[in-house]
Amino acid sequence: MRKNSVAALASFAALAAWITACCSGAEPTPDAKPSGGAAAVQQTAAANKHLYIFYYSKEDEMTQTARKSLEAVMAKMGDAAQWVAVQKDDPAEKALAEKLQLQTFPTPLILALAPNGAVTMVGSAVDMPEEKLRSAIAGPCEQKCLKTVQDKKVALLCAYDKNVTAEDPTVKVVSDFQAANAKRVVVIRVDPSDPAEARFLKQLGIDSKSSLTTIMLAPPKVLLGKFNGPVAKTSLVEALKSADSG
Amino acid sequence: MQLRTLVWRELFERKNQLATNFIAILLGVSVIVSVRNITVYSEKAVARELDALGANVLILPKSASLQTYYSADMQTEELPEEYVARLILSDLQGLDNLFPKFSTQVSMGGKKFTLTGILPQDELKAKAAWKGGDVFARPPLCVGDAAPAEPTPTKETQFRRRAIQKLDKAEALVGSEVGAALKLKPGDTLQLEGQTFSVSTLLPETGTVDDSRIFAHLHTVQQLAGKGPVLNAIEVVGCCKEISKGLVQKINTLLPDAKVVTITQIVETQIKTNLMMAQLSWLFLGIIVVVGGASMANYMYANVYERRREIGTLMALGAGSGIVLRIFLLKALLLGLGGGIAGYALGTLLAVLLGPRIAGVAVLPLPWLLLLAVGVAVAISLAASYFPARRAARMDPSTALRET
Amino acid sequence: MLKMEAVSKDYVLRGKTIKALDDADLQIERGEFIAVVGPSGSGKSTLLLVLGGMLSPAKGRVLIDGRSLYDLQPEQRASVRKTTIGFVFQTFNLVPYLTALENVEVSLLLAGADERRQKERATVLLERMGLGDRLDHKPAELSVGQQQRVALARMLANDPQVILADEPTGNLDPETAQAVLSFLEEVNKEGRTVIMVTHDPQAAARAKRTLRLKDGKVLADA
Repeated sequence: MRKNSVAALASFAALAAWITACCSGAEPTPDAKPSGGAAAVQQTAAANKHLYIFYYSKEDEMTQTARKSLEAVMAKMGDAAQWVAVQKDDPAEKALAEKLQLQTFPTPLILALAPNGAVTMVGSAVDMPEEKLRSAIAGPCEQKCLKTVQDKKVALLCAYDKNVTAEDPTVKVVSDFQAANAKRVVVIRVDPSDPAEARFLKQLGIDSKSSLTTIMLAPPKVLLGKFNGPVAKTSLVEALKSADSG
Repeated sequence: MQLRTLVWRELFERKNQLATNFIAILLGVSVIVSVRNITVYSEKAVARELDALGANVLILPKSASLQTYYSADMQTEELPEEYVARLILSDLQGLDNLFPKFSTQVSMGGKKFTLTGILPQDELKAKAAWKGGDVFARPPLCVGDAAPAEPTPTKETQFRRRAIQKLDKAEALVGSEVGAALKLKPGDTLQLEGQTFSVSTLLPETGTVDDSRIFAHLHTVQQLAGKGPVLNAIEVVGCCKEISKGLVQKINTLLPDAKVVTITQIVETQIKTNLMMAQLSWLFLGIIVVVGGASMANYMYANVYERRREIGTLMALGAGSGIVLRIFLLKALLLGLGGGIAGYALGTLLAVLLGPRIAGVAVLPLPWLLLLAVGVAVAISLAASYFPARRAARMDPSTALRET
Repeated sequence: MLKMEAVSKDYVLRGKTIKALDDADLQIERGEFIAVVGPSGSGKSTLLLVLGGMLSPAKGRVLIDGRSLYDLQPEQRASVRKTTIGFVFQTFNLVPYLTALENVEVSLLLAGADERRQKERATVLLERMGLGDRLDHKPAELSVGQQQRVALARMLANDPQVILADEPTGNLDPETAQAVLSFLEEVNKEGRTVIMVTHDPQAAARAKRTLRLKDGKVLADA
C-alpha cells in the first residue's frame, strides 16, 4: 500500500511538472532567432534594437527562399537587429497582426520596427535587396520623427547646435508654440553635427555645419516647412494650417 | 382685311383636316426633338463622366460583370484586401488615390440599403508612408481635381472628390436618398445589423447610385458582414487626365487574378447607345420629311381642288398668280410654324419625362431645339406645298368658274 | 369701248366639243346696257369670260378702250380686271369663311387699299345694299337674296366701268330678281357699261339692247 501511494504521488508530481512545463511555454533561447512575435517586439524594444518581422502565410518555395535570404542578411547585421517569423493564421499572433494591420498586406512580407515602435520599412519579402533592409535601421532622431507622424501628430524638428540655449528667442517661440498645441505638436531636438543622424538630416537637407534649422513634419510623411535661422511664431502657425488643408 | 387674315380664317374653316395635318407635323417634329434632346444630354453625361473619371481605373474580381461604373462594386465577387497593399508597395507611378470598396446589404426599418465600406485616405497614406526609403516630401501639387482654396473641406466636398480623409470605425456617411427615407441628420445614431453608427454627414445628391448608400469604415463593414479582409472593387483615381495604357497593363501584371478596366471601356456601351440614337434621329428626320411631306402635299392638293371656285373668284376680282401663290404658301408657313412650336413643346416634354428612363440621364429643355423644330417643320411644309400652290396660281379661272 | 374681233373659242362639255364662239364680232359702247340671250349651254358664260379677260380666245382679239386684252401679261390683265371690270355670278361665289364685310373688303385688299379705307368703303357699300345690320354674317347665315346683294356690293367696291353679269337673277325669287335688275339699271345710270347674260326674257327686257348668241356668233336681236 505505501509503495503504491508513493508511486501514485510520484506519478502525480511528474504529471504536474509535465503539465506546468508544457503550459508555461517555451523559454526563448539565447539564440539570434527568437520566436513569438509579440514577445520579440517587447524584447527588442527593451534592448534598443530594430526588429524585422517576417510575415508569411504558407511554407511554399517562394516563402522559403525569401526567408533564407533574410536570414543571410540578418547574420551579417549582427547585433543591430533581430528578426522573427510570424505566421498569418497563428492565433497567438492575432493581436500583433491586428495592431500592424498585417493581414491587409501580401505575403511573404518584411516589416521593420524601430525600438520605439515606429515602422521604418515595409515591403515584399521576395527579392528584397540588402540595402533596402539595411536602410530600415533608423537613428534615434529619425525614429522619433517617424513615431510622431505615425501617431498622427506634428513633429517640430529642431536641428540646433550646442550654442543654441534655452534663452534663444527661437527656442522660446518653439516652446510657446508647442505649449499652445500640446496635443498635436511634439518637439524633437537634434544636434546637426551628430554623426549618427547624418544620413537622416542630409535627406532633409540639413548640413552638419548648420546651426539653427527648424523643420515641421506632418502625417503621413510630409514636410510642411523648413526655416533656416530664427523663426517667427506666425511662420509656424501658417505651416501648421497647411497640414489641415492637405 | 389682310392676306394673313384670309389665310388664318381659311385654316380654321375645315377643322378636321387642319387637325389631322397639324397632328402629323406635331408628332413628327416632337419625335425628332425628343430624340435629339435626349441624345444631347446623354452625350454630355458621357463627356462629364470621361472628364471627371477619365483617368480612373477600376480593379475588379476576374469574374465580375460590369454594368455601370457607379455600381461596379455592388456585385458579389470578391478581391483580397491585400491587393491594395500590393499596389501601394509597388513602384507604379500614377496611382495617386486608391479607393477600395466593399458592399453588403443591410435592412433597416423594413427597407434594404447598401452599406459600403471605404478606407479613409489618411490610413492609406500612412500605410504608403511605411514603405520607407523615401524621405519626408513636400505635399504633392496635384491633389485630385479640386481647387485648394478651402481651408478644411467638408466631408461632403471630400466625398465629391471621392477622397474622404478621416473616418472613424463607428462613423457613417449617408446618401441623400437614404437620409430622406430614414429622416436622418448629422448627429443621429443608426442601428445596422446590431451595430451602432453615428451619422456624421448627410451627403449631397449626386444623381448616382451613391445616393441610396450608407458609407462606413471598410473594416467595420467587413466585420458586420462576417467577412475577412475582402473587397468588391478598387477604384484607382489617376491624378492627371491622361491615363496611360501602360498603367493598366502594369496593374494587370501586378494583379494577374484581377480584372482591370478603364472608364472608356465602361462608357463604351453608353457611347454606342448615343451613336445609335444620333443615327436614329437622322432616320426619323428622313421619315418625317418623306411621310410628313407627302401627307402635307396631299392635303394641299386637295385643298387647292376644293377651293378652285374661290380661287377663280379671287382671280375674277383681280388677284394675280403671285397673290394666289402667296396665299397658299402663307398657309403652309403658318402650319409649319404652329406644328414646329407645338412639336418642340411636346418633344421637350417627352424628353424630360422619358430621358431618365431611357438613357439614365436627367434631361432639361434645350431652347435652340425650337429653332430646329420650327426650321424643319416650316421647310417641309413649304416644300410640300410649293407645287400645289403653283398649281393654284396657274389655275385657269374659266374652268374654275364654269357652271355645270 | 369694248370690242371683240373675230374671236373663236371651243369648250368641252361632257366629252363633246362645243364651239362657243365662232369667228364672232361684238362692239359695245360706253354706258350701254346689253342683254345677251341664247339657249342654255350655248356658251354665254364663255363670252363673258372672254370679254372679262379671264379666258383667252383661240383666235381673234378683245379690245378694251383700244387695248388688246390678251396681248397683255397675265398680271396686267389681272390689274385691268381689278380696276375696270366687275363680275356678278349666278352662284354669287362668295368666300364661305369670310363675313359679308370681309367679302367686300377682299376686293379692296386686292386693289391695295389700307385697312381703314377697306372698312369704310365696304360698310358704305353694304349699307347701300340694305345690309348694314348683316356686316358680320357669313354667307351661310344670309338668305339667297342677301348673298347676291353682298356679291353686288363686292362687285362695286373698286368702282368698275364695265359690269359683266352672268345670269344674275338665275337663282333668285321674282321679287329679289326685280331688285337686282333695278340695281343694274341704277348703276347703268351712273355711267357704267352693263353686259348681262341671261336666258330669262323678262330680265332681258330691262336692258336697252339685246344680242343673241347663235352658232357661235353674236347677232343683233330685233
